[in-house]
Amino acid sequence: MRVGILFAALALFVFVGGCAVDEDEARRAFLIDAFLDDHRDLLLRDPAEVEGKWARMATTPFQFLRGDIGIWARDAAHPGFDVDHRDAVDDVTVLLVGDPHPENLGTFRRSDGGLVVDWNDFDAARFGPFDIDVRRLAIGFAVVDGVDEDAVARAVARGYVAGSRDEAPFVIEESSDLGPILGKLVRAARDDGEDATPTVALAAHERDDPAVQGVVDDEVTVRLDDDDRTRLLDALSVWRASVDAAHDVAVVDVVRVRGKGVGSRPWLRYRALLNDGRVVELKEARDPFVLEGLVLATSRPFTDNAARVVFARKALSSVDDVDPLLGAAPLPPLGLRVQTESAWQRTLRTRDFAEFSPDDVDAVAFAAGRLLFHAHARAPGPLGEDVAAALRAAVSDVLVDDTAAFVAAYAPVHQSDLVRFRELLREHGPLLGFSP
Amino acid sequence: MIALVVAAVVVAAAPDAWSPPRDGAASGVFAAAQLFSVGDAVFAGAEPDAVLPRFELSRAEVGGGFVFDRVAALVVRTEVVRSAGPQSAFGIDGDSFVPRLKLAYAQGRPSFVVADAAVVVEARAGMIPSPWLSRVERHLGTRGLAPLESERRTLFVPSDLGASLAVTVADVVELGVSVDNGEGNNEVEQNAGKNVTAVVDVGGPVARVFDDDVVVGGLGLYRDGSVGRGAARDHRAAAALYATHRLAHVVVEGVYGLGHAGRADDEPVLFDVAADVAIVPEVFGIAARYGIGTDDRNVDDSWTQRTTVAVFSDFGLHLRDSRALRRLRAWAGAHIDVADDNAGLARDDVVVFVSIEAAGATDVVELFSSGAHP
Repeated sequence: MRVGILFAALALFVFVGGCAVDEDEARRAFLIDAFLDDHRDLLLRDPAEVEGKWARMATTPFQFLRGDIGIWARDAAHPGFDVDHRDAVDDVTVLLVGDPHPENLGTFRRSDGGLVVDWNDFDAARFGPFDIDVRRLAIGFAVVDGVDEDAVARAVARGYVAGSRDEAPFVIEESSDLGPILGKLVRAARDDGEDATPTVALAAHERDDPAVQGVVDDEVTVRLDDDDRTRLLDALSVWRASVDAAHDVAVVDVVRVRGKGVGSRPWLRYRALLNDGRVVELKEARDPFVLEGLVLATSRPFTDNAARVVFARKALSSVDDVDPLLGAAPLPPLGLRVQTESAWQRTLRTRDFAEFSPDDVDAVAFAAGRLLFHAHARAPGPLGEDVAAALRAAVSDVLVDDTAAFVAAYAPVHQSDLVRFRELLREHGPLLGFSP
Repeated sequence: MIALVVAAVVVAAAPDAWSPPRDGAASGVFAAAQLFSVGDAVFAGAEPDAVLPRFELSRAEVGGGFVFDRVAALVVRTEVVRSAGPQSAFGIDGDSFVPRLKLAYAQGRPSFVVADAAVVVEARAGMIPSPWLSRVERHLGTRGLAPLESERRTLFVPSDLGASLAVTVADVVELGVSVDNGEGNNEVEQNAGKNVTAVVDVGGPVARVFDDDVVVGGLGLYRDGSVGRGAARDHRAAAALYATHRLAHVVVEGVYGLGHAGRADDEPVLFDVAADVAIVPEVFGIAARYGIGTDDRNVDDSWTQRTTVAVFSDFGLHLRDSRALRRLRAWAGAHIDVADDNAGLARDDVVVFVSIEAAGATDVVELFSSGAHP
């Protein structure tokens, strides 16, 4: 009898609970919690950079996407994210690019002087189901102002499917049929590279310069104090010893870079000039996003984030010879990813899409999808295994409709999240109410 | 993915890992420890030949405290956890184990007689046990296999900062209420709201079989809660039924939530049944568990199920009256996980395991006998 009463009370709770919460309020609570959780240490270390990041994210749907990877990962692990495709698409765990949006594509100069277009940001690389990357890339194109969401989503997926049917490696080279957008990108990179004058000194502001105080709109370099400079030089000495191409060079100067990027803007970033005129960028390596509920054969495949990012770039890039200076430098308790920074590197900018036709944008989305498949197929799986065959077997035309359906469902969520984010910034202030 | 667990060791734990012992001296000290260690070999689904043998330490706890005149007590219990978070590379010296507080509370437990009925009032403050897990686990015979589903699915966390008050009448009815931060034992308070929980446990002996009581009862719980900076709702309603005997235990658990993991609009649901019976006491027994749940009942095809079947043996040891070692048990069995199409990133999985569980704790022991004083 007593037990019956308990279960009756439970049933009443279930019934009453059904008519409960305002979905918009629930999502706002989720967003503020997730943003503060993901930035807690950064808010304590450098609140101005977090403020700058969030201000930039609030400007456009695409800029919001560049900083919302934590929200994305939570949603990707949540029931319902898979829509209903699992019956048709097998899960294959691959090394994900992690955040493969269009502005994480850019040019690199190969050892023979030729240019390639490839992924240029592996901060979020980790193991996971391949379709998370496909969807991230599709939504990345879909939220660009003025594009046809359905068309670019389908183009990304068609490119991925086409990649699965390629018999040879796929590399986007200068000699490829680049189309108008990538063609312009590569030509601009070549012009920049050929016009660049050798770097002989790094410009840098002093710490008390007004230009580096508070929120900055543009990239700015800051001179390091003696302690920080010593730490960085020590870190670079480890990097030099471990990278063949850096063995015989000396570090002339190193400065802090602030205000660069969107998602990683609050991360530590440095620029070092070598005595042979080359410049390397050092960037803090942090944990990639968590995929809650994902069970992998090895739960901790990487024990060092800088090593993870370096490994991912080597494994996921379409060619082997893009950067002889790629390596890692320890800056306890952090690690830094070190790579060449040059005028030959130019990032694809989505604001330029407005100059081109929808078909031209679709062509870039198609190429990006195809490049993504080859990155996944080229990299080893969590246990070092070859995943290419399993991945080819799993990918079919079903992926196209599935990706389009996902984008149709998720793009409005993204747009609404941006509106909520702007409201939260207005209501709680530029740091979302954070106080140390 | 198929995982084969090839070894597991569980050493030394009190049957009730949440409360000070009731036996022994009126005043004195007590101690307890618990350790789960697992070795497994993992086979990746895409490449069945890729085997990853490994050992894991899934649980290690050490605790103890003081009891004064059977009324007041101080309880501290520590557990070890991996220093890096899930899927994180930020740890201490790699991903070393580090100790942290699981429980740390002061307790007052006066008792009275009212209308011929014993009334016990139990007040606690500090890092206090979950009002749900601590009560349901008293009746669970298969904790060595896995946590309760409500803990495994993070619908309840083991402990939190707060205070609780419970009144037990005639050792049959227990009414409890607690107020806590709602952020668990690994986070400071994030919002102004407090979790308020009411719980009732009604049960007692109904028969005597094989020289031992058959205890039957049920529990109910309601929690009004919030979590995170966004103060997302985090309410729970839960009910459980149990029947226990020296040779067998059955626990049925149902939990419904409004809000989960910072998502106020999620409505998690789970149902869990666990049973074990000693076929030949201290020599051979069987156990089975089944749990089904979803993080959000509003999402179609989002349910996951776990079925566990196991056999066990206590090596013929009669440990009921042991003053230290309370359990030494070997397990062999399998966990079978099945996930619906829309259950997030959960996948079908099979884990076959062989393990050993041992548990022990001291009674309250006088620190100094009166004769020892000069």
